[in-house]
Amino acid sequence: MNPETARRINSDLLQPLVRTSWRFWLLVVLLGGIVLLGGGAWLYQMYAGFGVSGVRWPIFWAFYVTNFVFWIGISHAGTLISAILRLVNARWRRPITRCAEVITVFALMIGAMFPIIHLGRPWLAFWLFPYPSERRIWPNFRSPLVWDFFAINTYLTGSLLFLLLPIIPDFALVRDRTTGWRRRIYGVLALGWQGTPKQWHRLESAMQILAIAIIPVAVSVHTIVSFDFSMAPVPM
Amino acid sequence: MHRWGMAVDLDSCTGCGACVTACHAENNIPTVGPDQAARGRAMHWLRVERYWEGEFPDVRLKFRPVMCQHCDAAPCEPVCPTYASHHTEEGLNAQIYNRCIGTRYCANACPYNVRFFDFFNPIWEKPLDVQLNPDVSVREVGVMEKCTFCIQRINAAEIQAKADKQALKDGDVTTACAQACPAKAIVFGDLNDPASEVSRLSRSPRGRKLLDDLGTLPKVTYLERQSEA
Repeated sequence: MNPETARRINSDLLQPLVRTSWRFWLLVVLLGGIVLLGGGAWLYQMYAGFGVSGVRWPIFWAFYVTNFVFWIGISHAGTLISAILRLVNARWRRPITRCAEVITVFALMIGAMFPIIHLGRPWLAFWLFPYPSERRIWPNFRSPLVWDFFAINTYLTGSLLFLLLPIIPDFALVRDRTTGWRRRIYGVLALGWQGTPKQWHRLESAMQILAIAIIPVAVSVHTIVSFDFSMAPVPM
Repeated sequence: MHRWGMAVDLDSCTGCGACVTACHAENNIPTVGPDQAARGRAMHWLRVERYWEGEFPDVRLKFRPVMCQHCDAAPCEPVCPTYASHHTEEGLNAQIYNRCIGTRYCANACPYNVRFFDFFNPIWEKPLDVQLNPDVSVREVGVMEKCTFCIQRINAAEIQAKADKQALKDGDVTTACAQACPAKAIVFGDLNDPASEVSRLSRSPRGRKLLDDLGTLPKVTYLERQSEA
């Protein structure tokens, strides 16, 4: 590939960052509207009582937990696969890696939202978190729900690192090719990346370590979500 | 230390439902109205299950009052992330409403389906609103509630006995359902006292536990039917 082509590819790829078409804003309005609808529905559920969700005796877990498990399942497809492919040096993974990792991070964020919506008193959701509270009571560590909290947060943190580390050179690329406030923002995000061989070497080592570390984390989060259903003697 | 338990003689039970009414009145259990009841959201800490046997016209009807079994190895307790479902020293399977955040995990884990969720803020239609029991807290929307073995009566009797410097006698405490039962089918008492009525009945060869094979070790014993009537 000659340098001229490479430069054109780079500038083509960066075009959506600097120029925004009306189609983009239309999409933002459309999807934002759906988010607002969902938020409104949640507020209505809190205001009117949890009964409006349609859940009833004797099956108290329904739509929300199903959605939670679905999105956790979706998150399986990203970072874990990407890490395995990185470890086996599959070259064809390169075009899809970032897509897969972004899917994991966002699927986890959506998934983690549902147990909160599912609560009868969501304004007390922080009681699930282990912190030294004035109530002098820790969460019940026998409960799989508490381990859900740990597992999902660990996986989310790991996946975020796994997504953001290899994106640093790309942030630096954007920093070097833009001006004004974009340059300042991406300058901060690029963390002083210069593209020296030493930096590349360190990035590669970090990614190797992360790729190995993320695999047991991914296995643990999906195991712990399964505990939710296996702890109860009633089949669900 | 007491260990509260219950025995239900199914031979005596006529299925009249007095226990259900007494339980509602004692424990401030809201009536949800016909619409919500049709959606399966009626809250009966104690319900009388009906079992029809045989073909018409030769049918027999069996009743079984089912309340929280206060299991010694309760499936609802380990799954609660906030210790709202809590085992007391006297073996009661207590529900601490203030701690409950409504994960509803306990109700999913309960094989007896005796836990009830407040899907809406409770309402009492007139004149029910003037008969609320001041000894029992009213539960707000989003928490789980269940049979407590009338813990307010147990506590009151224990405090009274302590004030009188006397030990609790068998029969000093009884639950609302046992008190209301006209056939005296429900007997409540201390299982640690081998001479108590409930201990005697629990040792009966007719005694059965609900879903015994799950290993939940319920403290409610059902004396199975002998009569063919």
